[in-house]
Amino acid sequence: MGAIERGEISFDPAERQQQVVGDGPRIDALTGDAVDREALGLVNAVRAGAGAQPVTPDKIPDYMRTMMKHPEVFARQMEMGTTIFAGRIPPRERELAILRIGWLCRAPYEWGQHVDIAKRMGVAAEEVERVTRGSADPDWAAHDKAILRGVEELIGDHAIADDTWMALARTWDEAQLIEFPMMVGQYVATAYVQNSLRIMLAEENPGLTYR
Amino acid sequence: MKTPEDIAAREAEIIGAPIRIPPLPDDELGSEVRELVRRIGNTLGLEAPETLTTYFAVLARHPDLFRLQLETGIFLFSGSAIPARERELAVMRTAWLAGAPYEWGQHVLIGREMGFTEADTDRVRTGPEAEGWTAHETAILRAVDELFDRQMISDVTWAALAQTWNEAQLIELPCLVGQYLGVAMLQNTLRMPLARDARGFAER
Repeated sequence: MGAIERGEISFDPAERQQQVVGDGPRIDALTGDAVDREALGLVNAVRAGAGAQPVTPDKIPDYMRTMMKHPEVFARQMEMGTTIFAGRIPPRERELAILRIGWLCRAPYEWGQHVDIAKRMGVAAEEVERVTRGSADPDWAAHDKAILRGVEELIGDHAIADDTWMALARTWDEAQLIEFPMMVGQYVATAYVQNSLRIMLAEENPGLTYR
Repeated sequence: MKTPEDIAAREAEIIGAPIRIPPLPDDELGSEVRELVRRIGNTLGLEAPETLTTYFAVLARHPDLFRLQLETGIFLFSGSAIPARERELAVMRTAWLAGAPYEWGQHVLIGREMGFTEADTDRVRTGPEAEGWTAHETAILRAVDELFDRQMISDVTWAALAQTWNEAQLIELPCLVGQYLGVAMLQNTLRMPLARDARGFAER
């Protein structure tokens, strides 16, 4: 298995961002007028779940309009996203985990998007910066530290170690413990897809430099 | 995992101790879970859909995730754009790189039904550099390795895949690898014991 990264990782964010989104997308997004009613319905169901207003097809993000070129995968991704968004793990804790995932996957799109979501869900601006320094930073509360360690172990070793599991189990119930690795897998998958398809950053998303 | 000792150590790390969360006993399955199992069993034409594997009986403690995993099964049954044999190649390599004895053993058996021999699955362990893969198979294996190593498929590998695959298939691959990595992470973390008669990493 790879190394477990518990602290800062050494990479050049600008160089990585150039590598991932410096050229155009690998697959062009569906144009707004090609979005069918079913796909639009899925998008707006996801938005309703997150408390957002419905959109018209031309306002759907590139990421979703690209995934629509495989309607079955798109429907699965939306379903997974909605379920986990409404899952058992409290939103602030979920977003803390996702930030660490986006950073370790060096995923400009996921990182930038979730900096905003995390802040809305109660992650402090100073904590966003601290996520880049990992679970090793001394300022984390015990449960937050265990969440970050869990992400680091899942990405580096594809399993959670005993001490981390026990630390998580002090706060979380069984359903939350089951949800956690599944949730991490889902957001790693999203990073894989967004990086590989070279999904272009949305206008308000500066990518890896965002704090 | 290069040596038999490495492989044995990993299997001991993952399933050498008891399962971390026990399966839900049959008499505690909720009506929501029962209904899902019946509906999906019918869709897939299973004879005794009410018999849950240990994995699903643990997931039943979180009915929403239980539903998602069953639906993933249906998706693979009817919605996947990648040919089944190529999909299994990617999944086996994913299970191997994730050090996941449960997933590896299970998917070697599925792979066997699709015509993979012992020599083939041994080569999956070695990876894209092994001798004898077609150019397209090499590209699939390389894509999985790149996703694990740098969380992105490279230009060269992408171009090789695009010689054979259409856009939907290209979109599906990183998603598929990520999904099966997620399952591996969950099964590893839960210390999911091997099913009866299953052989984990010993399966070829």
